[in-house]
Amino acid sequence: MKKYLLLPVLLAFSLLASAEDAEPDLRIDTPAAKEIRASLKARFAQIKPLLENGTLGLTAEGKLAVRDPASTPLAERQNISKLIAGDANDKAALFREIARANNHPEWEQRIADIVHERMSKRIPAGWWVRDAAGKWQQKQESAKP
Amino acid sequence: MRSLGLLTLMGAGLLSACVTINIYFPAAAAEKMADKLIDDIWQIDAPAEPPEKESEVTP
Repeated sequence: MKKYLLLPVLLAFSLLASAEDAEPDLRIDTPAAKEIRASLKARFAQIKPLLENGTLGLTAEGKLAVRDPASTPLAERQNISKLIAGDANDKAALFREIARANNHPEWEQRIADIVHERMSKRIPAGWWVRDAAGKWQQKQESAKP
Repeated sequence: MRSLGLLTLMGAGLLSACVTINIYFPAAAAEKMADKLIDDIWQIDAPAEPPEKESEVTP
């Protein structure tokens, strides 16, 4: 009786073991992806000071948003709108390209979700984040154990 | 003989579960990729909270 149990168990274990390290890296280095990343990076040079001074914040979904539209100088509003739209478009294009480059176009949303999830754990202290209820909170220094 | 059939069925069920999870979406690789992107584009330093610990098996 016991010897009939051994084979399925061994088979299951060998599969579990191989499943753990069987995930190849996801490619983000296609020419198109590199181009979009460069565009995001270049635009971020303008966005960063706005995140640091609280003009812009991140929504619960990880998108850029103006924290207090009333207090944004009129002269800057158009530029800021452009930055927000450009950032959103580039990100969408990047996640689409990464999904395509890895032969799974249907992964686009999951990739977007996971990038947002990782980002939300790494948001620098001082940036503003809007919670699900719509309230803006400033990210505090995380207490190091 | 009946129990052998049941065992095979259980084994096959476990097998397909592993394969399904693996093909469906490579969560660990995606997290690694996400961190790479975040480092590159947002140039944030060391993550405040590390991703979930995964035992790395180097072949």
